[in-house]
Amino acid sequence: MPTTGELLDALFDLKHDLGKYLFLPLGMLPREAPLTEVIAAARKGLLQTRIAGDLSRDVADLWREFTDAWADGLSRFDAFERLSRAVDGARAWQNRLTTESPAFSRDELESDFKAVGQAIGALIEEVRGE
Amino acid sequence: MSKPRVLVIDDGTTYADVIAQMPEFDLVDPQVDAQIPCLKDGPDALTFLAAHRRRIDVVLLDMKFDVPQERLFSLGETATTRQNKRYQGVAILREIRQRFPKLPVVLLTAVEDLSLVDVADELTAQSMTYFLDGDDLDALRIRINSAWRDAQDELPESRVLWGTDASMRELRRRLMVLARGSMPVILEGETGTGKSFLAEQFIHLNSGRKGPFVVLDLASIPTELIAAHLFGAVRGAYTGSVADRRGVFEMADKGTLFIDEVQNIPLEVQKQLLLVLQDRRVRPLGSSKEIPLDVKVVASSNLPLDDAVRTGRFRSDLYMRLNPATRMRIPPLRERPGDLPYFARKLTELAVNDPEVAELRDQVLRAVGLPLDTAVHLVIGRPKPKRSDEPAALEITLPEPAWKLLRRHKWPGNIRELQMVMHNMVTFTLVGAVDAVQSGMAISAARLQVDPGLIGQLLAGSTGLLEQKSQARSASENGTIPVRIEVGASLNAVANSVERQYFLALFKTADGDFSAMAKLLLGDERKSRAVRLRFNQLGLKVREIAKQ
Repeated sequence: MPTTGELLDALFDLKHDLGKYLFLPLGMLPREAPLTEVIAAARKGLLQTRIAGDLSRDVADLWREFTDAWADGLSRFDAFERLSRAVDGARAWQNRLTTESPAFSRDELESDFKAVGQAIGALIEEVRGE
Repeated sequence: MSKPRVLVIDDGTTYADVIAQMPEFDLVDPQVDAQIPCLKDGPDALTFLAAHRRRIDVVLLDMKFDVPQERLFSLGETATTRQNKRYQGVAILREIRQRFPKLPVVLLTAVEDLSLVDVADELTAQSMTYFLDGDDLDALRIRINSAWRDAQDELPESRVLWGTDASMRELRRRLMVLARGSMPVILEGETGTGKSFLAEQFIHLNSGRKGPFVVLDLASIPTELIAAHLFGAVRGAYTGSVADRRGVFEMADKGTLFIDEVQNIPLEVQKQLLLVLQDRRVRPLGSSKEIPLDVKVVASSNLPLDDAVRTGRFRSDLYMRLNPATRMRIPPLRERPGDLPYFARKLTELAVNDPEVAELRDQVLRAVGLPLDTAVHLVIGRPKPKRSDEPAALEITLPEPAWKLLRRHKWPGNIRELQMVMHNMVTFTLVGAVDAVQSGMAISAARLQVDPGLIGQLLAGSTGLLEQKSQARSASENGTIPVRIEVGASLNAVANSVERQYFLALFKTADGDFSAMAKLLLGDERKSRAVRLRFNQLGLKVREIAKQ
């Protein structure tokens, strides 16, 4: 069974690699940016989530690596379920974001992407409070 | 108009790409790697900075670096590779600070994300180090600009300890402007926040005025003599006046007059003061001669002056003449807890160099075999392993329990109280070491640990004062809070909303002390984590509440 310290270590990495970088391209886009740029930024967040050196990983890779290693240790925490739902919610945008996309709310998109970082934060707090 | 030149140190390219597209900034492209417009690790960054420091106004520094181990700076002997990667920004920043102490660096992380490692205190204590509080474009833009402006405003000669809190940076910027010219300035702040020191050491020194700095403390003058002290008087002008008296306005001509506790001026004298400020002339009591004046007035109050106007204790026309647009509030220490490590360290340095303490310090330095010009530092928490190239220093270490006491304290006496506590802490700790040496004990390590019990004793006096204040506040609020309920909401939503409002009110009443909240809610102050967790679950954010 992993220790609390190990779980927190892993969660802080996830918060940085997934929580931060999923939303960052969108967050750094001006509010008045056209739809095509919003879609491109969101797709970058989903598909080129964490680029370090020559290595690029997408949301699916990061989430799979994380759950393979830590899901057993985290499943007892309520916020883990919330995090799983948040990641699914963000990934669901992948199919909606094409240049032929019907109009969608940028606020809704940002809210779904931000929810991942928030859910990781909530899980960190829950693990800390144990 | 010039633009800040920004260098990005990041193992990814997101931030460099963003800066490149922002017309208000110039991205410094290091051209180390043709593919990426930033520096991807610490060694590259230090090499580049050594050669090009003058080309850079602000550095953006990422926190986590997924780079090969041989490209990582170490955080210390005990740090794992994983920790070195995740907090590599800290290790790089330490290297930067050694060589470029005044270079503004924005760390691309929120300060709460550093809570797993004992570095947040170290970093928040540094001037010219900033955190990115947010992950949007505006947050980045604001942070870079404020770092750049602070570097331009940097005043190395100032004796004022500003700290790192954004409110104090803003205060400094505004006072720098207000110091010039003859417009009055109002300084508001609780006792001990340093109003008179700020007036003398910052406003007066930056006013460009050649005349003297004169203080009139209205709290210490009998009411019936206030007019004579302010405006002067000729012999016989009032009972007991046996000689001519120069008023403080006349004394401060061509300089600055600091009127402390201005709310204490009697109403009948306020009218006269208004005329002096309007006409820029003063007529001493009993005299027919008017004296022209060129005085900058700084008025201070430990209560909001507009409250005094509302209750009729202060004339509104005088208040308007004192220029409420320039009313500056110095926040109490408890509103800027992030500044506590900075002040603790700085005030320790001041204390050890105080002539009254210096003899004790020198005795200890001799006992441990260090030269008398060795620096003395305060170390908060567990001491870090010393690097071989670090200069020798005598460390006064404040263990975590002692530091916790200081952090939890509400500082009703503000900086003045902290200064006394740090001065006494240093004195008692040095005395303890000297006593040990004199009784034949050998001190070999250049490290003195502060006794947590000592801190508790030093804080006890003002803690009692605070409890009295707190009781008074509770009584005045009658133990109730108003709660808003949305009609039509589900029972569950109402329960959550009421709980949220209750937590928020408690948080404010307890000044953010989760232990105090835990004691009230659960009867056990040790359950602060559970309370904090619930606080977060209710969607409450400490940082956002603090901003309000």
